[in-house]
Amino acid sequence: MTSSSETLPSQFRKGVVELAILALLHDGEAYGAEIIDRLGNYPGLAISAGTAYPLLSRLKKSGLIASVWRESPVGPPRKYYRLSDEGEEAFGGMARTWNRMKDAMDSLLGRRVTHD
Amino acid sequence: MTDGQSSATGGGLAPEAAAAIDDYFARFQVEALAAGPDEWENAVADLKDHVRDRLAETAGTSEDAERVLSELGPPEALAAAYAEGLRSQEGPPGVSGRCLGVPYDMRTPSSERFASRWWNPLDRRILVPKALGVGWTVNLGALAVLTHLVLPDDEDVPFGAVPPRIVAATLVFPLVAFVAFTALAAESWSHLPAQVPTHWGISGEADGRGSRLSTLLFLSVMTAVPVALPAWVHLRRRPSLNRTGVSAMSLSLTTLALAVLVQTLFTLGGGVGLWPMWLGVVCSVGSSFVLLVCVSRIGRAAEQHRDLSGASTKGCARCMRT
Repeated sequence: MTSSSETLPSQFRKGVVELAILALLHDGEAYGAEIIDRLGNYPGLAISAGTAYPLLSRLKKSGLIASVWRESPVGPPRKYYRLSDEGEEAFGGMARTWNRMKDAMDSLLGRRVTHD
Repeated sequence: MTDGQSSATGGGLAPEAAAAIDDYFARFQVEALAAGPDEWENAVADLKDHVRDRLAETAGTSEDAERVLSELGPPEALAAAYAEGLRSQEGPPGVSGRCLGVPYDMRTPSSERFASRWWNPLDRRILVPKALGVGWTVNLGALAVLTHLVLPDDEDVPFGAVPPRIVAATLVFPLVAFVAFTALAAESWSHLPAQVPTHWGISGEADGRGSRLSTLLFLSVMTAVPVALPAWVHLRRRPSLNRTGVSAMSLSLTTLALAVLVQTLFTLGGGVGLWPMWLGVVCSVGSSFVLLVCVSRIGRAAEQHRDLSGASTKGCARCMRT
């Protein structure tokens, strides 16, 4: 999967990573470095800080996510991101679209994935 | 025109309605061409789509077509409005782009463009295209991120949460450099010979000379203009990023002018070498870097104060849960 994700158009990958960030924040709030680390656990979704922060900034400007400073149990305060109400709604729609596309693409590419 | 006709009037329109629409857009095109916009084809396509959408809700009779077209106004007036709209989209005069890989920007400069090139922590590139001229300039924001002095997302909007009085106070630094330059120039004026060094070779030997008056006049303009411009930006109440950015740039330029004056006096005093100039260049970039980092940290502290002081108990409970 890694090699295929590398050859996909960058706009496509950006859109997928954006959805991945929304999915991550749907589970609960997280700070910047944590988002990068957690995405790094998925080889196809790993992004650098140079990609992550502009994406977070854009999502915030479009009102899908919000940020707030919180005290950290270790070290200085951290800026946490969470989904806004608008973001929750958009995420629901995007996830449904993604699932439809995924099913369609799986059958088109001829390797239907049976697990979730 | 047959193709255009069928595409514009498809969807069960009465023949009279289709004829009315085609007549309308024929007149529109004549006017649009006369007014000169190059993109009139797009305008016609967009407008035909609009008309077709509006007519889809109706029976598609010629009365419906007349009504929808009358909403758009006379084709001549619409064409004039489009021409005006296209002209205003062209942006400020001048050009920008790349030539042989080297970026150039000759558009009318704006404080916003200058400031966002100098301080953009979200952009990882240290060298970014110049806001005015040919080549690259340093993105001090990326440098601050690289040296771990700030995080890219420390501030929601660069300098956005910085108290206004701090933003206004950034103007003090270039002013101090300007005063230092003026004081040094005034103090040394009487000791200066008629001809002073104005250019130095790589070894530090003066290889060009100019008159005392023209040299000091040139350096004075080089310090006065960078101080006057940010004062103007501050007075116009531009956003904090623009104001802080131009203050930093002004500090950089006035420090550079001060360095040239010190180098001149150094050479006249018998000193050999270019170290005052090099020190000046380092101070020029360093001082604006320090200024921008400090203001950014003040902005971060203001954001933290806003978020942590008000709802600290609620915030901490949530934070622990995460």
